[in-house]
Amino acid sequence: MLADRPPFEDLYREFLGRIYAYVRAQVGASADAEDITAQVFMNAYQAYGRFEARNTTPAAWLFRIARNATLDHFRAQGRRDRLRRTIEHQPVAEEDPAGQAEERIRYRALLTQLARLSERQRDAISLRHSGLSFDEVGRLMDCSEDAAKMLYHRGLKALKDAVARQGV
Amino acid sequence: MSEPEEDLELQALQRQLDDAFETTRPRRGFEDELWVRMQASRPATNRLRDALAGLIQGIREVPAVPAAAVAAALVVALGVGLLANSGLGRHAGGASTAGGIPSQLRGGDQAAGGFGVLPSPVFDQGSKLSQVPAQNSPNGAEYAGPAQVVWAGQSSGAVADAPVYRYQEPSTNVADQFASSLGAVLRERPQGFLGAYSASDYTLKVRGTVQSPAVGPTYFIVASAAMPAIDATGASQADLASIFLAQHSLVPDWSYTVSVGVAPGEPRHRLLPHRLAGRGDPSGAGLAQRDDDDASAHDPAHQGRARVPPGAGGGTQLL
Repeated sequence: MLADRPPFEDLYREFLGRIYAYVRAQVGASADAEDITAQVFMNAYQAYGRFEARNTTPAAWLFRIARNATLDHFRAQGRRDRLRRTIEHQPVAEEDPAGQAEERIRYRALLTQLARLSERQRDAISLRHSGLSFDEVGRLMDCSEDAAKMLYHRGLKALKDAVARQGV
Repeated sequence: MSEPEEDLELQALQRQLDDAFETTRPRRGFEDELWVRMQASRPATNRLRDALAGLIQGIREVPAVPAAAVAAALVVALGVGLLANSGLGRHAGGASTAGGIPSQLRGGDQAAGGFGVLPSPVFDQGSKLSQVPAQNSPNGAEYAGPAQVVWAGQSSGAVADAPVYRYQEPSTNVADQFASSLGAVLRERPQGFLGAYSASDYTLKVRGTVQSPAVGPTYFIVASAAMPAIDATGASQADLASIFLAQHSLVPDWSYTVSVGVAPGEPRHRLLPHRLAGRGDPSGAGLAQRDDDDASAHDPAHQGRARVPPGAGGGTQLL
C-alpha cells in the first residue's frame, strides 16, 4: 500500500522544478531538458509502486532516475551525432538559435560554464545545488561523502576560473 | 589572490549557483501538461489487471457480454465526499496516485472548525403538502399522479442525534485541480457546472451544490464512443461498472458495495458506497450505465437517478 509514502503527485509538484533545473544544467537546450524531465517522471510514476521509502529518500530516488536518464540522453546523443557527421560529413553544430535566445535568461551563462566542466564535477555541483546532501551526492555518484565534497570543491574552483576567463 | 578573497569569491559563486538552480524552471504550463500525459499513459494492462483483481470471486464461464451492451455510455456521479477524501485511484494500480485534491479539502476533519456549532435536531414543523391534481382521472380509472396525503398523529420518538454531512463548497479552481488529477483538461464552463473537461476516452463535468432539490456537489463522467468495449467473460453489470471505475482510477478508497437494479424499459445501474462512519462529509458516489447519450445525463430527471443527496450519506448504489 501507499500508506508509508507520500502520494506521487506531492513528489511531482515538489520536485519537478528541481529535477528540471538539474537536467537543464546538464544538457544544452531547454527542449532536451523538458524531454528528459518528462521521461524521468514517467519512469518514476511507473516505478513508484516499488519505491521503498525506508531505503532512500524520495529526493535521492528521483535524482538517481534523473541522472540515469541524463546519461542515457548523452549516450544516445553521442550516437546520433556520430552517425549524422558520418553521413553528412558536417562538423559539430554550433549553439542552436533557441539556445542563443536563452542567453538572455538570468544565470544562463553561469549554467553554460557549468555544463562545460568535467562530467563528475558538473554532476557533483548540480546535485549539491539541487538540494541534496553530500552523503546523497556520494551515494548517487558511487563514491564516499568525502570524495563527493572534494569533487564539488574542485569543480567549484574550476567553475570560478572558467567564469573569470569568460567574464560572466 | 589571497585565500580569504578566494573564499569570498567561492561563496559568491555558490550563492549564484543557488539562485541559478532556484530560478531555472520549466516553461509555464509544462507541469500540468506533463501530469496529464502521465495520467493518460498508465499501461492499460495494469489498469485491467487491477480491475479484474477487484472483481467478485467465482465468476463462472459464460458467453462474453455482448459488445453492444458493454459499449453503452457510462455515467458516474460522485459526491463531494470523493473530492474531499481524495480516494480516487488509490485502488487502481500500484503506481496510481491520482490525488490532485486540494489540501484544504483533504479529510473531513480538516475543515471542521469552520462550520460552527451544529443545531439540535428537530422535526420539521412545516407543511409539506403535495399539490392536489387539477383533474381527476376519467371514468374512475386508476390514477397514478401526485396525491395529497395527510398524516394525523403524534410522534413519540425523540430525536437525540441525526447524521449531518458538511463540506466546503468546491470552487472552479478546486474542480479544475480535481479534473487535472483525473487526467482531464478543461473544455468549457457550461452554465450550472463548475467545468466540463475532456479526457482520453471520457468527458467529465463537475457541478457544485444545487439548492433545490438539494443535491451536493457531484461530478459526472460520460464515456465517449471511442472507449473500447469491456470484454470480461462472465462479468455482471456491477462487475463492468467496477472495471470502468478501476480502469479510470476512480475507485473510492473506502469500502463500498455494488448492487444492480433495473428500471422498467431502461436498464440503469447505480453504485452506492457504504456509509462513512465518523466522517462528516457526504460521500455519495454513483455510477450509472446508460444506453443514451451525453445530453441526457444533464436531464434533472436522469441525474436524480445517478446521484446521492447529501442526506443520503455514503451509500452507493448502481442504478
